[in-house]
Amino acid sequence: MQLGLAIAVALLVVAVVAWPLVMRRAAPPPVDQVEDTSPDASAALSDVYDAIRTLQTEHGLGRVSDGDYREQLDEYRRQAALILRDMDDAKEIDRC
Amino acid sequence: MADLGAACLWMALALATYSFAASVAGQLRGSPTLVDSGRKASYVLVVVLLVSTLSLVQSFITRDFSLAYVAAHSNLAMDNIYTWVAFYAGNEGSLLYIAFALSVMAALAIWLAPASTRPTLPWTVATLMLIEVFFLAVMGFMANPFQKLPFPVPDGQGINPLLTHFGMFFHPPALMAGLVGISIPFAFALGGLIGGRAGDEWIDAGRAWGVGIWALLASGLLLGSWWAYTILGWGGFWFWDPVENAAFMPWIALTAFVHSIMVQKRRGMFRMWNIVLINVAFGFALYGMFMNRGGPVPSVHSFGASTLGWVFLLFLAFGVIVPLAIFFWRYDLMRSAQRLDSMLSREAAFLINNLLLLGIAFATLWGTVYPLLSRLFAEQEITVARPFYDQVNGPLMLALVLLMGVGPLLPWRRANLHSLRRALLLPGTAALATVAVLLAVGIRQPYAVVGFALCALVTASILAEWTRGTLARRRSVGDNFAVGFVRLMMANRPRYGGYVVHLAVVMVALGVVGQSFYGVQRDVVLFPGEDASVGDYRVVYVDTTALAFADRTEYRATVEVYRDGEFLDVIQPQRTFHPDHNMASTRAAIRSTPVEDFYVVPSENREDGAVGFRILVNPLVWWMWVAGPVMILGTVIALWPSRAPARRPVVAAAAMPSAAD
Repeated sequence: MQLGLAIAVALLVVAVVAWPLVMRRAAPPPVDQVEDTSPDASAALSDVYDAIRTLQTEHGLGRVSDGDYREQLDEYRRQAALILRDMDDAKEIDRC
Repeated sequence: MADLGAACLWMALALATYSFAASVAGQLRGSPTLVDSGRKASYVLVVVLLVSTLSLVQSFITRDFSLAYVAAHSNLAMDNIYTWVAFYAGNEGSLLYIAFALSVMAALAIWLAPASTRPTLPWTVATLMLIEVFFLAVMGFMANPFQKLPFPVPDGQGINPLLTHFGMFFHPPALMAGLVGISIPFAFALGGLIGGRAGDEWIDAGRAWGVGIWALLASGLLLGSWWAYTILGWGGFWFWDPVENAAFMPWIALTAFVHSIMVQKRRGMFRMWNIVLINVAFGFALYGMFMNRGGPVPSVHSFGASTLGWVFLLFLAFGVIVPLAIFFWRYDLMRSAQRLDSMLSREAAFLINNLLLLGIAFATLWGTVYPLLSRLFAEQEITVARPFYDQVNGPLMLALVLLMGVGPLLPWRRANLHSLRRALLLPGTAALATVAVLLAVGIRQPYAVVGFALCALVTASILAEWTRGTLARRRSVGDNFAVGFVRLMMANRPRYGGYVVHLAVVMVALGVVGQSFYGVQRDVVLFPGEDASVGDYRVVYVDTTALAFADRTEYRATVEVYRDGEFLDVIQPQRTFHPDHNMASTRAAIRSTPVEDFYVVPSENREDGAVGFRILVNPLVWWMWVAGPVMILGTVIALWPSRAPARRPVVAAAAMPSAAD
């Protein structure tokens, strides 16, 4: 029984490891050429929104001066706009 | 099943080696199929090591004494419930546990890796698999848990009696998984460095795994303290033992990392610093494993008879020198995008927090290695004990608690003194009120007063933050208080989850300060019917019952407890003699309340019927054990994923939005 189980595990290992090598055509594109940046972009956008919310809270509590608030908010909005533009560009590429 | 387990162990070694080689070769040759094959090998490694692990567990369940490891760590009298503990009670089994835990965490980390890390993921896989190869090779060639005896023995030696405790089900696995788990954020950082992407690509994975592993290590340390408190019989929970320190240092370095990584995430700063921190944490983790396995200092927490110390020392050297070389190779890639605007800002507070934490870690390292250095160079061993750590780490820890109270009140980039003064008004008042109350009730020990005042400052600053934020939501959105509070927490989970963790740290600080400065201890020898007083308590020793088991004899003392003359309880502290191990273990009877623990443990059972007792009153220790679940809750909140923001169409597009609009 132990021998049978060992052979079964070994076959599983060989099958899983060899699968990408045998099915070369079905393999995914090289990882460093993958253009899928949408999860990153969403996460980055989420980070910027978080930062804006925190800034607004701190400004509301009087911890950040009006000048600093405007300056930082401008910067975050600029970052968000750039991320959104990248996301739109990526969608355009997908459509083409 | 032992043969199957052994076969799977060798298969795992071959598989991890293949995964490492395929990832490196695939990346260097630009072969995605090879890279994919290497990645899949890391997934299937989990299955192979699971089979090996289950085989060893099965060998324990069936008491297969043909295996040297099973014979050394179990016997026929062992309760089946301790099978899980016996599995990692020795070097060989614990190495298998570590290899399995690492394979699971590595597979999850690789599977869930964010898209930003994909270009360098093969290097991350290679790093993790190289660490796997080390553990599997050590097991295969030097400490094989499936090693057979020349002939089976009728009964085993039994499990170490100190391990037959509830805490042992979680404390060693949490610590071992935590120590090896530091490899995950380390591998993402190193993978990024090797792949030439050492900017912000790795930080989401690094932060998530860093925080999770931090919580795991913290749980392990707390459970270990609880285990020591209840079973070792000396009434304390932290001895500054070299092996305790070896688990404490990586946790401290990781604490610095999980704070510092937030600065990189939010401001794009401290890139190089974060790489340094995760390398330091990894180095400390390797040092911890070296100390635990044949290190030069004996400890109740280490595998004393191990001869693997030199292998782990070599791996420690390799694990420090190679990443350091890669760090200098990629030095130019790690420049931060931003600079520190002001020393009065949240990022500056994080930087000071990091320096204090590293100060604690390196002071602890110095205290740990000093006896070895003195033995090597002065030909006499000079032991470094608690007074050193109290004097050096005590003030640093108090400064850290102060920073926990002030740091969250500072905004990013720069604060103004006026708003900081206003934000500190309530917490500062709470701290001063605490000082006044403490002095009024006669608590005058300066360190204790400062410690309690700082705890009040942190608690008040957190509560004030929550209240202000919730009220602001109420004003702007109209939420009721409860809904507003929950939505506030959900709106910025890393921040408010971190506050919950800070509250847990305050609870631990309460216990440490209370026990350190106001703990009372008395050692007495009592005959049946005699009594003794400690503080407000009086104990009457009634009698002792001896219970004989196949592998041990338990001596249960019955003790009546009175406080201020009023009967409180009957408690039964216990001392057990294990003839097979020629040792005794104790089980303290603890009457625990949020105010104080009343702690009784038998230290000696004399032939004339008298019993030696150690009796302690430990104020506020209860809070330390409550801190564990609170800390886990905070970690879960901090790590809970946020939903992707919904996009709404804009009516008119502007060239670039402005706050002035």
